[in-house]
Amino acid sequence: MVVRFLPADAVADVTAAWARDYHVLAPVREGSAVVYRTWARDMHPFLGRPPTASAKQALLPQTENLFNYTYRKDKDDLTRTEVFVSEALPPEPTLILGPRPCDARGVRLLDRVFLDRGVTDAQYKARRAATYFVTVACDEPENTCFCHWTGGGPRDENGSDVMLHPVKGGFAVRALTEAGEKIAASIPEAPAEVQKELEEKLANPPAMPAAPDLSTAPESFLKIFGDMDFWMDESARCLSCGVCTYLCPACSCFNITDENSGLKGRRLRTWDTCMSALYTLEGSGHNPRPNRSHRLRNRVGHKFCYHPREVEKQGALEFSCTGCGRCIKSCPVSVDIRRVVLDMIERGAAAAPEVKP
Amino acid sequence: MQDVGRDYRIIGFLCNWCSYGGADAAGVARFSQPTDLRIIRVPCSGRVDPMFVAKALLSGADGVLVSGCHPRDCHYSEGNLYARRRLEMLRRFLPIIGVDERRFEYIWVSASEGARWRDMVTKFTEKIHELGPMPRMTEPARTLCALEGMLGHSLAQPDMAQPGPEGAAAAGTAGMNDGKGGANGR
Amino acid sequence: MGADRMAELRAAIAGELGNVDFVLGYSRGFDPLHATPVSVRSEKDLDTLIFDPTCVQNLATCLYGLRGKRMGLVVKGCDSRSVMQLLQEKIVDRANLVLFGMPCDGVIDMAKVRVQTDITHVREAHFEGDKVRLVLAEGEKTLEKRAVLADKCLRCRYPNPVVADHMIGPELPVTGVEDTYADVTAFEKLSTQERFDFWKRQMSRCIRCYACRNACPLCVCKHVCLADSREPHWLSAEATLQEKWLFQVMHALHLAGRCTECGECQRSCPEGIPILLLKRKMNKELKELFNYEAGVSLDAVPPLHTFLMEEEKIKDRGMLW
Repeated sequence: MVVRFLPADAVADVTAAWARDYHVLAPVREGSAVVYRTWARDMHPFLGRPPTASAKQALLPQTENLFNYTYRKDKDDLTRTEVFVSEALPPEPTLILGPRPCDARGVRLLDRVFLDRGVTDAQYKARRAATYFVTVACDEPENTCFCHWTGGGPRDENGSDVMLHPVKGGFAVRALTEAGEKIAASIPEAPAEVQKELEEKLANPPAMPAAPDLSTAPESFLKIFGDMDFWMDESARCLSCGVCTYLCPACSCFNITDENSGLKGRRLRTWDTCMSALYTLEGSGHNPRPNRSHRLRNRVGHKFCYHPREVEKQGALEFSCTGCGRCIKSCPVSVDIRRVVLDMIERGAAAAPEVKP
Repeated sequence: MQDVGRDYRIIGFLCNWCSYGGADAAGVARFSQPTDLRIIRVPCSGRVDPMFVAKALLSGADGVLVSGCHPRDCHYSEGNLYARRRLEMLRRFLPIIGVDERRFEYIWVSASEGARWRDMVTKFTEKIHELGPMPRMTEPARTLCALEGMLGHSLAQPDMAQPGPEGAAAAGTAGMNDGKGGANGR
Repeated sequence: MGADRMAELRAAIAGELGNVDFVLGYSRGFDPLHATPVSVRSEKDLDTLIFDPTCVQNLATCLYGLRGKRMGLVVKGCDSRSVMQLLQEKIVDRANLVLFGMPCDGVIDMAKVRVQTDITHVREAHFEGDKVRLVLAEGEKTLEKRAVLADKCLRCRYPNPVVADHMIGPELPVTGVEDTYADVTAFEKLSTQERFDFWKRQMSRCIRCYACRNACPLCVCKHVCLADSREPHWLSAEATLQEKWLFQVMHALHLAGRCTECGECQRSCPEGIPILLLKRKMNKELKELFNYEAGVSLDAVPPLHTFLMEEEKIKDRGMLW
């Protein structure tokens, strides 16, 4: 594989060239956040920090128009009303610049929901086929990063089409897929010293504190499922907002609503959050998850018990979590899912060996 | 300027007892008035939730006029007295959200004041025409990337100037710059 | 903040543990610059308690969801005003609350710390007088405390809680400057169009997570919040500029006369959108028109809940222009 070199001051120009063929989403600094914006001239992409939100917005937009509809009475038989449905336009090729390996890994977890379960989501499938990831490898994990706990790593290649490795003066560029080759083609080959620097880097991954053994997480969860004191204490601080779920690369829940005006309307798919009290509020008024303790239990359970148990894999468990740490960083009350999982494992180990469904 | 010549959309919230009667009197007397104002009848000016006004303005109304009974003459005794405080607070709040406070007005018109109603409507409509159409809080249009490529420059987000490499410097906001330098990875 | 004070807090809480189901206080979060709320049920939990300038959260936010329980709460001056406002509105029952008041001389603003130094590898944080000494991966860094204090602390007029059952530590003198709402005035020097465009830009990165709403101690509508309601249908679920902006306007309007400027809304925004400015404008006008401040006096009637026949400061709108 050819290693290429992208100088730091050429990033804007190369991105502009990509913008001719793709809808480019690039990260910029705004406020205290790093936000993906549609590429525009004079933009200065900022690749020094992981973007605040994950890259899933390219595949699963926060608001998506599924289709428009119009009711029309049949003029020959006024008792009949016909519905005309017009589908949304197919997505254009999209390039997302600046996600980290943890973001790109999230794509595989989204695939499980939208592609692998027997019913294929047509919109997601179309976007997936048309979206390419140019990720930035991590040199210095932050104190909220725990990608290696869930099977990832600072240079994990899963989900990326092109990977940019920070080196002196810019980035060493490696194309990881056929589409990536096409994207990287315009970037010149790297001189020998850059190749050498890259080799050294790849041989010496950044040091991360040792990952705990999470293999007992699913059964610990089930053992303490009914221990509401535990879940109440862990969730005492939670605000039930939605920051963790909306920023998470692996969270995919959505809501479908119709917005009418007269005889016309559109059907929208929007992100939903299991942390909200409304999530399971039924039409009757009953709510199976009325408290924050139930909802936090569900979120942790989904990621660290239900998902690994549903997905059969050889070798390590697949958690529905990429360890990106956004939920910890951006949580207003600093809920730390790492602490919840470790507490859960500890509590489960001490609990009686009884499995509650 | 866009929308020259089109009818402006001004929403009027009129209390049923005084102001609606006053507007009715103006109609019966066949006074000539601008037709931009569309009336929504409410039982009392105290019914008017400031959100009615905010939603109207942000959804495309160019102006909002609230009219009620004169203070001390409210059909429900005190409704307009609460409204006075509430609507005055709303009027003072509008500048911070970037809406010209002259687009919102609250007045007192009684049922016999048909001519006065005509004068208020005329004056307010003229004012709104002077101010121009209300800017819309809509997403900037984005052209397809292929089109941008052909044209050689970006039409995306014309009203959002990008910050320079040191980060945004918008008025008064904290935490703009983390001082770590440009686009290099760390 | 000193060891004696922590001992005093722990003793006070220990004394009340028999009277309450639990006490909500602060403990160390995922790194030395972050605190996280903790519920203390028994004496062994007391060791996890801390109180220092990292304790930014307003624990009064939890009060409404836990009403009906007998509980204790650790409050700073600003937090106590939120409690006072909830008491004023009769939303929580004073009899079920035990308040541990912590006179406070300021909390840090993480956005300001990030401007000065990398915050992702902090190993230790020491608050020493008017300095903040951080131990990072690459060495030590000392910051001026005043440079990283939250804006609200620089203008704080209530360092001592306005309502408390136990006051822990000596009361502090007022050192905050008087609030002239200079930020609001400065913002309004921009033209109307510039202000509109400013919010267009800011709100475009809003992700409609509702952290601002859920972090607000006075937002007690919870799942019947008008923003989520389909009947009446104020807002659609779309994350478009108009809907997001209308929500912020709705929030400010619903808080008129109630907001105590604890700042949690702005602090909890993951995108750093300066939404506190809207509420400050509301409070500025409230102060000017009615000389009123929320959350200070138990018997005060919020000005928008009442009226006067003759309003001194409101020009009679009978004569248009």
